[in-house]
Amino acid sequence: MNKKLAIIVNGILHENPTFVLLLGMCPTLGTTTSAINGLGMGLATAFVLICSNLVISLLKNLIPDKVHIPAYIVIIASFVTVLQLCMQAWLPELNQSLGLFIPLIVVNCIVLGRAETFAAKNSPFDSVLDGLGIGLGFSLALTLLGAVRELLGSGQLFGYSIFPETYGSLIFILAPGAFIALGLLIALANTLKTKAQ
Amino acid sequence: MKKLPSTIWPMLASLTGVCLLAGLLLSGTYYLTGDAIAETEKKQQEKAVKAVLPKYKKLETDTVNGMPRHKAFTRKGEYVGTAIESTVNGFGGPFTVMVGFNSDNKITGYQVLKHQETPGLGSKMTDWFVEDLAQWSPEGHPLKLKKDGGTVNAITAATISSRAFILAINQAIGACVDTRPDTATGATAKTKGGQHE
Amino acid sequence: MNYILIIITAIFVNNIVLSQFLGICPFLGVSKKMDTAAGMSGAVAFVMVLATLITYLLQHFVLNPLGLGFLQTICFILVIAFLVQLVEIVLKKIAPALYRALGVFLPLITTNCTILGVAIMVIQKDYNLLESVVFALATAIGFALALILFAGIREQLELSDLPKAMKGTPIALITAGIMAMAFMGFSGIV
Repeated sequence: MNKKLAIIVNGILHENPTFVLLLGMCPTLGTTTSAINGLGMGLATAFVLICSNLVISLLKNLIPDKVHIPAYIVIIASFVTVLQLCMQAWLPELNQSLGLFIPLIVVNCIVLGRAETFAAKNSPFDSVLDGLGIGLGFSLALTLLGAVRELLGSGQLFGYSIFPETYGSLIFILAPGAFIALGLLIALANTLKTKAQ
Repeated sequence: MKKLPSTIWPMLASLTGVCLLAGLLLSGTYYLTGDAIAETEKKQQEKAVKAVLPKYKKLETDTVNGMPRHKAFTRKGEYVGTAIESTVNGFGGPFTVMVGFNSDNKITGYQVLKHQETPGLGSKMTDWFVEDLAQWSPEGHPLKLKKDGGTVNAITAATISSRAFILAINQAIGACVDTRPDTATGATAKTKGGQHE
Repeated sequence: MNYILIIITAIFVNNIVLSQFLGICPFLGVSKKMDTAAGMSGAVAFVMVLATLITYLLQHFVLNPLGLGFLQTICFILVIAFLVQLVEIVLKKIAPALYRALGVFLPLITTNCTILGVAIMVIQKDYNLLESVVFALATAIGFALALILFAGIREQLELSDLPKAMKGTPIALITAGIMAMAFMGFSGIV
């Protein structure tokens, strides 16, 4: 049991896609103008990650090595399209604010990366857990970055006002703030890692 | 089970299988979400029309100058107002504004439907122009920003978005009420006549 | 005039990396040396223009008439994956040195979101064929500009004395942030 739990924790902490593996930077920077957008993007990616990990690990022996990349891409793209259709149907507002970044989950290196390094070698159940862990780690990181940017930029947190907007620094919601906030957060993560060792 | 070898037939079979599976999954999802997507889109449109117009019971939809137009009537068939969906190119791409006019051709409200303007700058247009537009009357000239010699305050640091927004409103005005009959096409003049009957 | 506007907007104002946040992985990954940055830019430009052309035709002459618009994502990514394989094979034969330098990053062009992003963007913006190709080329130039400038800065950064936690990606991101600020200055020109 502990081993199973370890797979999830591994995804959240030791192999956190954003702060440790440094993968999937585009949606990380592009969608985190607010905490809620970050969370939405994280969960959307987690959904695709879990589904594709499951299917790929189920089919891993039926896919010859030489064609594994195209096969994996087809599987991942299918789940992304499923997600796109579902979001259009039931979550139109979130779909609108995440825009282009939903179809771009297909090319998120995390999804293909986990398929190659984990799902292709492990049992279906473990792969689902890995997808869950990595997905949660990604969601947490995006929510954190979104929260920092939203708070510094507009004085709000999840849409609730913390301090007046005029004290906020708009730059954090704009493009440069995304890079700078993420850079500082990764530096912080590095410091914590060194201290923990 | 052993992994399939990378020879031509297994590769072909496996890729075909994966594609078939993807096709099944996608057509299934498309079938299931089709109605929900159409309904959500309709609901969103109705919500926007309700938000910009006084209370009404019946709605007639057609197009004018390529823009969707919704005419609203009471239960007895009395004319209440018109809502126009006007689309223009903003800073971050095209956006759509639903503009409402009452039976006196005054602007009763607007809703930004789809936009990709910069969060915190251009995105402020969702409620920035409410007061300026409430004061607008058919006798006034086409709307202009103060910068361009008009009366409307532009959003600070988002002139492009503001200009695009004003253009969208002017388009809607042109389609719904005609402020200067001498420059108008016969079609819009007729529209006006129809509304006052 | 329209084309000039598209070109300037795509290169400077809405720079694909610094304001649209696409292609960050290669931006951070291959920007340590000037020559790899240039090679990567070339490969991306080539694939991007070709991919945009083909996906545009695919969308307007196959998917739309058949009412299969929802298959956009899956079709586009397959076209791109195929093109990347092609470029890889050609590069291996013609320029083995460049092939070795780009190494792992060539297959990664498939997962480079700029390519798929631009292909989808031209459909969303409702460009015609020529506008689409011009937009793709200009975006690729914008990508190359950002990448090569950034590589130049990073070569200097290697020599500077930094706190341990800031080394590598954190300082690269902050530098990119400052570059993005500089690029924001262009937003007044359109």
